[in-house]
Amino acid sequence: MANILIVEDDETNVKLLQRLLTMKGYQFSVATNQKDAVEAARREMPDLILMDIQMPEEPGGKVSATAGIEAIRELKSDQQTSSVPIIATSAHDLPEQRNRFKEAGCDDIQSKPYTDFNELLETIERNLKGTSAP
Amino acid sequence: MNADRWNRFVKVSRDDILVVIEAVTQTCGLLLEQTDDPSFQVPEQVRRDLETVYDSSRELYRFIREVLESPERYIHDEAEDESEDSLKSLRHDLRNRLNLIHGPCQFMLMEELPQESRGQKEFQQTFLSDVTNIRDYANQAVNLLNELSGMEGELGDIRSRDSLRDDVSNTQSELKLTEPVRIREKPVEPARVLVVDDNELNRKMLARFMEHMGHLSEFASDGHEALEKIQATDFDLVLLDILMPRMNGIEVLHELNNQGLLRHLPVLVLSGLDSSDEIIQCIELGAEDFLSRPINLTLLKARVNACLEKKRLREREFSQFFPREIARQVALRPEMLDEGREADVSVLFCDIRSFSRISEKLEPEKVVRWIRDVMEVLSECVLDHQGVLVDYIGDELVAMWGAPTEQPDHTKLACRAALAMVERLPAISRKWHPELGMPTQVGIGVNSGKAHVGNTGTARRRKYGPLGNTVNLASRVQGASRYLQSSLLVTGATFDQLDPNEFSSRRLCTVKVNNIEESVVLHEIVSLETNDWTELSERYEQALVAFESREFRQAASMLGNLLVHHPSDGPSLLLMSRAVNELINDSTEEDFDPVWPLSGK
Repeated sequence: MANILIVEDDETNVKLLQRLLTMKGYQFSVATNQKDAVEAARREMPDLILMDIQMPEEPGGKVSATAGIEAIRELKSDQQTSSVPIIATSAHDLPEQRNRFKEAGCDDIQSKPYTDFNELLETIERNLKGTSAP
Repeated sequence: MNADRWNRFVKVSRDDILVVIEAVTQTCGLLLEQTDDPSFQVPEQVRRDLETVYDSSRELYRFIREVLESPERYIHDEAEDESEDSLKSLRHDLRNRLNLIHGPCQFMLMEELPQESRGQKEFQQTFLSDVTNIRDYANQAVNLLNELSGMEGELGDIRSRDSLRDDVSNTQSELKLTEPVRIREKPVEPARVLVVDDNELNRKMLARFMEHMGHLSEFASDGHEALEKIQATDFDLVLLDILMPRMNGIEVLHELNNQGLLRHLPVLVLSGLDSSDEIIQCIELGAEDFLSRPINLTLLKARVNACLEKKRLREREFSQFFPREIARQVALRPEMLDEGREADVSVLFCDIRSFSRISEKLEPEKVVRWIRDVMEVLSECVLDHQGVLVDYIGDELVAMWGAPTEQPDHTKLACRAALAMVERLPAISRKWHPELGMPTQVGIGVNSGKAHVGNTGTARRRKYGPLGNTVNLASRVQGASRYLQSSLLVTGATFDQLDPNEFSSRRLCTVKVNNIEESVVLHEIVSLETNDWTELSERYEQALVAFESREFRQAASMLGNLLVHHPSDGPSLLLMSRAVNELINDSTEEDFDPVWPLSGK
């Protein structure tokens, strides 16, 4: 079964995602900051990454509004990880913000709050199959 | 953001976002309350989800309130600060927090609740529609945030902006609130609660919670309406919002205070404003207590109960003498008892017969128990029929209808109470027969008319009741009942206001009592179940007409026949003796007076 890396600094949000993914039979691991996220991705080579954008740059560090964007850039520019699909999950969802996620190289965007779990699950499925959204 | 955007943010937050978030808190709180009941089974996970939503919505509410209170953090000149627009980060924070409402809701909607127990199915429906509502409220908050950011179709991958707007206005105009499942086995004595709030959603949520607690609620959407309703209806409690158009909560308190209505009407102030100045002002004006939004339902429940309990204690004091409904009103305005005034009343005197004879025979302690036993039953009959217990004088009970609150049907109520006394007497008579060696009997007299009502005692020892001729006559009529050998007599003034189909009766005679100039028609009222009543009453009244037209022989012969079948009918015997007397005296037209003089008091 597919292995998903959840990158999310909010504990309750992590729990929500864990519950949903477990329910659907996915495996997952969790990272809560930019540094851990990049390391975990390299080490575990997940099938997909759910990437929060606003989070600390390193464990216990200051929250940055762009840490997730940096992580996407790093992973997408590394040959080893560039093919892992990344879904940016953020409560930043204004047009210019979304454009910045896309420029960084994310494959898809799911904005928070997750008003519809089905949509989130469909986006995950679609990206696991390697057919990113038009 | 600049000042304009900030002001818009403040307006939308106050008017809409906080309202829908509070609706989330309260719907959720209500569901949590219901899941406390062991007969509704909810998986532990669902309970935790509910708690998460509840806590998150409260946290979100507080967060927005804090934001609203610190404009200095958010208002900047936009040119100065392009990259890190504060509205964007605010929006991010809000959306992120909303996720903690949306997520658990969606999980809960996937859950299957167990359905074995009774009521569980009903609860399942409430549960599903409530959780759906919570999700919709949260969606509405997302939409409102989008509108604030001026986002054109940005959530377009879900819905267009127009449909969002429809959605927002739809949810606001027709809230799909479900009826709460009643979880209390025995609802507390229902109280009448007035919910005053300009926001419909708030009103409905509060009303729903009150209903859940077993109370009845009415609404007012602004201060003026609230005052009108309070003047028209006696409420047990008012839940009062402060920020309202036209007339705000503080002005309402001022007005209620001026009218002296606050002394006995508890008002709970609910508001988002919690500057201590406001709170102090409300309490000084006479509000009972204060709760700040988002309202914690457990706290609200505790405060409501405390207010009502205090009020009930006062009412209990009065309910010794007044029926519950009137006790409520008297507790609200006890000064109404001191204001002497003229009123249309019915007065009832009920006397326990043979008191002196029994007192001679029985030990005093037993006499007291017997009297108390009988009085207890008689008093119940009065209070059960909305009468006021005016006094007990030895073996006599005095009751009144028509005051302190107006009772247009006071004659009917008084007669019903009197009949109830007659009907309940045999049971108590049987109970005491072994001790007394004789039946317990009463004589009742009822009269109606104008009387002066008010404090007939002193300021030191108050006694609320009627004074005047109407009262004196009622007492005399009671006295006449002994002479006429009837249990229940009413005067023409009472009888003429009754529906003749409701009571079995006969016109007994016209009398003149000591010290009262005008003659009085007396009617006897009996229980509907009395045997052969129609025959007896018709034949008696025919004989009475014959007697009054000086057809004494005819009257005597009719009564003679009547007495064959009803040998112990007291009034027939009396009329017979009077007819015979007239025959013996051979009275002339001038001598004859069909009006019976009644001696004694």
